[in-house]
Amino acid sequence: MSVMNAQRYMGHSGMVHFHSQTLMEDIEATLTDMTGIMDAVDGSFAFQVKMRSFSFAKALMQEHFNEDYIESDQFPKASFQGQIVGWSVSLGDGETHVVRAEGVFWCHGIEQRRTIEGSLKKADDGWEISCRFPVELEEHDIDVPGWATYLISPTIDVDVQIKLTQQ
Amino acid sequence: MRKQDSSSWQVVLLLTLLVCSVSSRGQGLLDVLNESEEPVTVPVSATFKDTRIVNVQSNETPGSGVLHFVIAHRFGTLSSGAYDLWGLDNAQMRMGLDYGLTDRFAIGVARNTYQKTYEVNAKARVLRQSTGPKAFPFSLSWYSVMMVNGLKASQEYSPYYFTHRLSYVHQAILTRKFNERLSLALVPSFVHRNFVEATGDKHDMFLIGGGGRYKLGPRFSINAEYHHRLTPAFALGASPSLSIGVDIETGGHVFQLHMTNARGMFERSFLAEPAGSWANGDIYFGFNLSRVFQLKTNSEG
Repeated sequence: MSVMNAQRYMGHSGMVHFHSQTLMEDIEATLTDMTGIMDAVDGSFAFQVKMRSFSFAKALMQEHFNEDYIESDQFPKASFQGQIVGWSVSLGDGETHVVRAEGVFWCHGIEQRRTIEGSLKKADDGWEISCRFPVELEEHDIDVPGWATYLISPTIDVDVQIKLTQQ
Repeated sequence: MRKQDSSSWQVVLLLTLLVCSVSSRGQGLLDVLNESEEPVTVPVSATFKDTRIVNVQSNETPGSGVLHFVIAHRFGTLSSGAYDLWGLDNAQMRMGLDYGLTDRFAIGVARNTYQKTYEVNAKARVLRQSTGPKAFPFSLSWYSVMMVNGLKASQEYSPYYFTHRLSYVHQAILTRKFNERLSLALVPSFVHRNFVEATGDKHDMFLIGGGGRYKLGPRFSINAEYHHRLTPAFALGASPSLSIGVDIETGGHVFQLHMTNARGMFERSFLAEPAGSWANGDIYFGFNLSRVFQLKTNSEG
């Protein structure tokens, strides 16, 4: 068990940024307290965000995000957990590697099996991980009323960056 | 037979263990994350959709840097009949601008056609309901407004100074969001009028008000409020103000449609002045229509 823990890397200040663009409106939000953990023995991982941490430029957008769309009281967190495909020790050679991660993406109470491409780099004090992926609102049962379809894109682009350090 | 039974149990047990160990492996990492997270205190948001329930203030204020513009109408009484199209011929209007200096403090001005009244007001969120390790059970906001009657001075009341035009209302607004749907408010009010028309009418009045909303959908709620006079009304049989309505939200707008027995939309009017009787159909149909403009964006956003 202690050997396994020695291979565990964690982070508590990951950045997540999302962006929705339509002709009428740009909506974006950022958080900087994503948590993440990775096991460097087998490449299994988990990442998690608190939806209420997302900060918007407009106060009312943030309220509508939490109250009307994501329903943060009911579904306070989103997570992605799974396994890096083709994990091997050679990924820790200090170069940036493009990898695929397979797992379950959980958002708004709905799970989706996803394969997400990202980059991975071993630094002296841990792992630097980043990725970009789309989220389809429909796949997660996030309702957009008719009048808002001009304002909210059906596909949200998500950017993630995190550094995991050894525990 | 017996032997075979026990061996098949062993297989089931082995399979169960295997399945458990496989599934707990992935689950384990998320559990480790959850254990590593410090629980945080989060203020409860959106107790009400707008800064008013119907007439009375809710605990909400415009966010920092937000200009909140409200146009409100109260039509004539339903009892005025077909000739006035049940009141639609006669409308009173209120135009108000509120601005959030911070997330917890807002100032505002307004003009009412009713008695050509101007308002200057300020509202502060003193306490916020929150969840988490330092949970707090309710929100407390404070609202103060000065109203200036703009009607031409009548000879009847001579001498009539500017100070006679002024009245003040101070309110403590206690609210609690019980769940996603239900929010309730308790609003004690103090009204001071520098000038009262009838000799013997009181300059100072205390009232206790109650209000609430019940959400029927993510963007739709039913609202109601009632104000009980603790200081007896001077006019005999004066009805207290009672209002019911709905909130409909679309993006940056909130539409509030309601029925109320109060003619004026500023605090002195709907608190201190006798309202119409619901039983006699002295009911005004009206609406508040609000629009927010984000003038300054949050720096961290």
